[in-house]
Amino acid sequence: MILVLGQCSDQVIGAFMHHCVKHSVDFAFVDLNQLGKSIDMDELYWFFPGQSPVSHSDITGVYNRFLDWPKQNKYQMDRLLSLFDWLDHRYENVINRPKDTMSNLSKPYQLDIASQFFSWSIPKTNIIMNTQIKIKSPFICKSISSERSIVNQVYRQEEKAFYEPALLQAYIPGLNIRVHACDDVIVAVGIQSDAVDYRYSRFENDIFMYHLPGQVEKDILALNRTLGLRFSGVDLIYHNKKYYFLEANPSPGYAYFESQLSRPYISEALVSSLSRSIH
Amino acid sequence: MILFLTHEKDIFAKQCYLMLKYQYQVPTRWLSWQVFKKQSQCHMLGHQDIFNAILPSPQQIDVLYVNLNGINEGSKQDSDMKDQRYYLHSWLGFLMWYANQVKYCLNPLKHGVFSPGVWSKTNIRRQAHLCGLSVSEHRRKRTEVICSILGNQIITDDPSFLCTLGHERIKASFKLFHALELKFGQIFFDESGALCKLSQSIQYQISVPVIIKACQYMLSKLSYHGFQYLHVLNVSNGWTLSTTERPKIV
Amino acid sequence: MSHKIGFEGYKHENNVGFFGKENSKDGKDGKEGKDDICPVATQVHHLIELY
Repeated sequence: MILVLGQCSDQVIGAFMHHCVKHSVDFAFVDLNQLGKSIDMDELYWFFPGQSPVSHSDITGVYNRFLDWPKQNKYQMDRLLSLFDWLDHRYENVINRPKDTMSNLSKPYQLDIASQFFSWSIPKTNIIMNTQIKIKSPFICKSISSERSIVNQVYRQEEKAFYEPALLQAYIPGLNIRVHACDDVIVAVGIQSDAVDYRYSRFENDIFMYHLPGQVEKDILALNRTLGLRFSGVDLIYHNKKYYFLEANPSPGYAYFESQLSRPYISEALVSSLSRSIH
Repeated sequence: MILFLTHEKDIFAKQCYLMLKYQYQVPTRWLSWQVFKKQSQCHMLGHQDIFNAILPSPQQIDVLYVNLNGINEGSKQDSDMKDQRYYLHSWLGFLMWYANQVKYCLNPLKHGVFSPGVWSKTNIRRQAHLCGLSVSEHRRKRTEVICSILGNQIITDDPSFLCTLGHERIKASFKLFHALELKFGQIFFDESGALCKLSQSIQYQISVPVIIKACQYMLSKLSYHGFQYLHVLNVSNGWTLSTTERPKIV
Repeated sequence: MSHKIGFEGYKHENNVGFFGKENSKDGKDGKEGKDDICPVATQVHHLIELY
């Protein structure tokens, strides 16, 4: 049985569970807002309302999409911390362990690691704080951490003030590529969009299967191994016959991309990885 | 250079800073979080020569002492929770990069430590058992002995306690620190030698020997192109090349 | 019979379809399944009691 962890507001989890239902894959969904309330766990079992207890030993894999700390009392906090312990140390098969997702807490830290691979380049990236600058070539500005920022403005000639640390990165026009890598399975899509940040396009994006060069695929798998990630969503840009690496998302919102494809390749890969024992 | 990034009341760090600066006379800087957060900084990934008004680039720092306690000092308290989280994560995101650029960081700031499953009571207890240490099961009113671990050295105010601990448990303590990727920190033992508490900074019993050992450890990490700096010479009546090394030309 | 524990509760909370069926595009974050999650860092605890 696959354990699915997340919150009801997360549509990615919905798409994954829908896939499981369609293909008769056993799963149990832990709504983290209910942990310590209607859902509970102890050293041996999970307890769901109206269900027989589910033994930890019956769980073949855990799909972890811990979104945010729910409001909690002390007991619920204890349960959450206990869950983190299971995810980081006790379950054998977790996509992804919380401790491995933390590289995304710092984009430059991750970029430094990605710069060790040669099939892509890293866009010129500056970290700036407490400084007023005048921009002279096209740049985009984004959050330095994993906190979401909308990157829809290209700065060309403006003055800009930086207070908290943020990234000023060379604007690379070109084709956005999202690569989902789950263990050894790679699914790449191209995204043709009118917006700089395709997530916030006012119009529908065109999404199509993209064939990556073999070396880029190898490097993505090697990067995942370096970061400890078994599933990631890597953002690349293809421009002037070169690939540029932007970031590797450790909990990618893959469902949007998959909904445009002919097959649920990524859900299939996730189910395959989470259904097998990895002893 | 040795750079201290910590909170204003970090007495251990302040004493180390002063000793390194005025006794050992090595390039040393102290920045509290409040001051650090106001510094103008520009860094370019992969380059050292970017214009930077005040701070050296991380590549010029040999040892970075970083204590995240108090990192929220000077935060935007008037903003909502979401903004405060974004602000904190922006600084953590910067520090994680910065700390991994310098040659030596005390304590290392690897990404895993930010998971609640890593720096947790359950995990530390598990790691302690794996390393061969016993853990105190109950909070009792009893004497606790604090041992400071500074790299490869262990110091306590009660040296006879180290005999009580014995070689195996001292070795296990270092093993535990290695497993938790800590270089500096403190372990609290009960009188039977069982683990009670663990601190990832030096906060208690900050004695002169502790400061001296810590400074010596940091100095051992100061390296200039293949040699290690020890201290300034106070006398000038010796020779670099001895007389026998300077044969007289007849 | 396959187990799908918690699925009905999820559907009840959301009251929407899934991708490839009734994609809800209301422009709000989290509603289109393209949201990468940011890991949430723990608060830094310095002294841990191990009792």
